Amino acid sequence: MSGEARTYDTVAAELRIELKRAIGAERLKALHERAPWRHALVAGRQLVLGALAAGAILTWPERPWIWVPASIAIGFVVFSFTVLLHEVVHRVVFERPASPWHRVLGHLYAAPSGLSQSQFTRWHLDHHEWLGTPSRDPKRRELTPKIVKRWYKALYLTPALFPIYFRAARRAAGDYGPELRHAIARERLVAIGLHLTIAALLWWRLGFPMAAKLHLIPVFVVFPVVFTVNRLGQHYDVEPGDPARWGTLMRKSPLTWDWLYLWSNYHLEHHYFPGVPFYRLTELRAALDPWFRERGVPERGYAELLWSWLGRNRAPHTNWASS
Amino acid sequence: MIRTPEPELMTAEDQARAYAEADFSEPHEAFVRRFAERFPGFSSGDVIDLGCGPADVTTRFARAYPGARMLGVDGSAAMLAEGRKRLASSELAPRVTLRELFLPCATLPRESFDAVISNSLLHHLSDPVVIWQSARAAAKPGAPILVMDLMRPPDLPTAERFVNLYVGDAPPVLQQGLLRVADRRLRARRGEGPARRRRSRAPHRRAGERSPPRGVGDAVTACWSVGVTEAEGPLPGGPQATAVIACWSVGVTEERDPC
Repeated sequence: MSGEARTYDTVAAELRIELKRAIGAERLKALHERAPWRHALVAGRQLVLGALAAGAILTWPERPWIWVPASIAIGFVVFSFTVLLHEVVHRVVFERPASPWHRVLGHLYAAPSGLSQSQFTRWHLDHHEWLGTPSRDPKRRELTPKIVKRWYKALYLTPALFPIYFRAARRAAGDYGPELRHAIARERLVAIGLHLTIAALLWWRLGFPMAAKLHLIPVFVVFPVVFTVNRLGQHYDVEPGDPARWGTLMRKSPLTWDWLYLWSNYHLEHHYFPGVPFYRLTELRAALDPWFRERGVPERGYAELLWSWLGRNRAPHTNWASS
Repeated sequence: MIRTPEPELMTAEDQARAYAEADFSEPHEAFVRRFAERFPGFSSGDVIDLGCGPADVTTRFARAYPGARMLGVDGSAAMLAEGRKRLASSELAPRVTLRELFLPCATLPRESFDAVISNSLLHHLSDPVVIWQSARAAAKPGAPILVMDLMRPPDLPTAERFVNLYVGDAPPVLQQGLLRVADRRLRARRGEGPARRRRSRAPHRRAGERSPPRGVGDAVTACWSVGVTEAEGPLPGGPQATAVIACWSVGVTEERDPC
């Protein structure tokens, strides 16, 4: 993508003018309004979903038609903590962006998803800042597969995602100051310790099969698939010459994807306006729809992205329709 | 970087009033949110706002951080007067002090502030290093610094198009101010002398007729963009503070005695 040394804010300045014009000032202001209770409802719903799924596995551990979907549901719940953490990173949970509760909540969300809040914050903000630059966007530089082979891409759908991700995070952290690196190391230790403790306790108290259904399968089998498919809908199929399309516009789905991915399927829209809370992204999308149509921005679905990624072996961060 | 001459300090009362009444809520809230994003560890302490203008960012920051004690400094008495009006009826008054001060200033308190913020000052300074030196001098070791400035349209016709489109209803003084800056930049690029005042193509109003400021903020944001983070890293000359730098083209201030 062009503009290697320029931030996305700079490159997309005129684009934002257009977008603001298309949405309207008052509507855009309303879209930025934060409703902490709505965030709490979503977080609560995810916790209840996880608890129900765990309860179902504990009650009917021998029925695969129950424990398999329940394990998948727990995997989605684990993933959802990364999305909730993402809201904290952008300071859109509480009415005051500077509320200290953001930090507390960030730690609570980071640990179950196995992340360091400090790492995720810096990594993600750098990603926003340098979107479109191959060497400065950390997600693109460190995490995107550099080997465009099906077998290598498929690794991201397996537990191999974890060493891949941690290696990427470690490399990105090479640019950080010592204080931040120490904070990251501490937080990561806590997150990994928490997961190991949960796994060990479950194994010890309930046996390996139950530990696998309640924790190992959701975390190590389901999570990588959910994470990777979600990532496919972000910046892999793009138009390098057009900052408006440095993300993929996902087709509006029946409630499924909004519900499963907590609206992270509106990733392009999120990059346009990172201060809009996730529960308003559907409204943002609706506000932008006429503009998308007028501009001719193509929509994609997850199935077609998966096929292009693995079946047609498209390279990341390119225009998959023209390649 | 090609620097843009910017000879004006916003000393005119009508200009200061136009800026004070304009709705900059979106970019200024974004400024505060960006600070919170980048510096999640900051919660309270002494904060200096360099080039605070009518104190809109200063008060928003104070509201966002109830534990912050703010000092807003600016070289324009007219701007500060607008800021004091804003504060007079505000519960923030005990925590916000405004002071007329022209940078560089030897009496600027040294290593006294837990955070340094500055929005849209850089393009008023003849020597851009002044802002970094001032920030570095004022900040305590390790204090966060956030500097944000304007991004300009690539050419005058684009600027005029934006002004017509977005601030057509704004007070003429605001429209002309925006266009003047773009005009100077173009002339500087072409190697021409200082720019003359340029009239906007936007519909002019009759003398004494004022437009409501509603919507101007979005328009101004649209014209000039905000949150342009061009580089990040330690301040020039020392690694004492973390700075998110949003520098863009900068200009030339009037010659004045320091402070």
